[in-house]
Amino acid sequence: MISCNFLKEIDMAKAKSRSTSLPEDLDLRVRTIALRENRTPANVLENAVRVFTLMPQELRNLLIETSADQVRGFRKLEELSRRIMFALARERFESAAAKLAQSDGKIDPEMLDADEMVLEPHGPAAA
Amino acid sequence: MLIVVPDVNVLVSKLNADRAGRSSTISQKVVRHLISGSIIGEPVQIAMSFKMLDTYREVLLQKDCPEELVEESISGLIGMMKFGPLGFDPHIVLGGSPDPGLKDSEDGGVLATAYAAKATILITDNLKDFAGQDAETFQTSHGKTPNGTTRELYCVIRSRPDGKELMIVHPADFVSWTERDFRISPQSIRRTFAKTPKP
Repeated sequence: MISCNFLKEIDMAKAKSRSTSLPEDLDLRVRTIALRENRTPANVLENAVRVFTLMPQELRNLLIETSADQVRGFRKLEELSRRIMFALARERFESAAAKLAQSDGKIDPEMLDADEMVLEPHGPAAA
Repeated sequence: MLIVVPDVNVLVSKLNADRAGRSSTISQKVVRHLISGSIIGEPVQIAMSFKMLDTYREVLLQKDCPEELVEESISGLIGMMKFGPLGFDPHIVLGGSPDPGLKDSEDGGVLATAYAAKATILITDNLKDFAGQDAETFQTSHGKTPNGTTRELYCVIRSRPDGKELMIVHPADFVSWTERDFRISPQSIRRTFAKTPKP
């Protein structure tokens, strides 16, 4: 039954028209990215659609809503992109650290001892 | 905004602890705080120069770490700096000119990095190398290691060339203060700890 519905949905999706034309500013943006990154505009569009269609609907709606405001939306998307890039870099660093921990090599016992120091702070911060 | 320079010894110590199967040593906690993106609600920007990253690479390779993992680790660090809240580019401090006031030229390079990055905190185990003539020092804590070694820790405050101040803090103090929600600033350090003569 599920697969029957799924097939029906695919048929209906195929029947949907997908012809579209981009607004001038968006079209220019696509062409600018293509020029800067030495790609074809078709390739930029194909990539954009591929990424967008893999996102959950809630995220797609949020991004569309955010991008509607040309100035603030741009800043917000820039900040979101920065956070994503930071998270990916952290993941790379942590993944390397986990693999480095498993790699063969000497452990410095003196360094480890100093790294496990227990403190008795001075001053009111000790309270 | 906290702009923090972790000295290479902190990162190497973390690797040592990771390899020993530990999970909450001082250096591991420092790195965890730094890569979390914020400390006590304040955004954190990590800052290191390429010269410091080269030293990190060199030490790790000496410790028989596989080259591709060392590069992956460095690439992660560069990414976290570049995509941190201030977008720090390690290229802006190509090693920095060593501070002539410091005995060790490598430490001078670290200090130059902290100045170029307009860092607020430099975290290092090598406090004495940074406690030069123009610095104020404050007695912060007494430390004891599992082997029974004791050590008096202090914090150093130095004026940066732009007129602001840089705090040079031991990793153990950094963790202790962060866990106690002690806001790290030159004012709070002066208010809280007794000034001590140059160690």
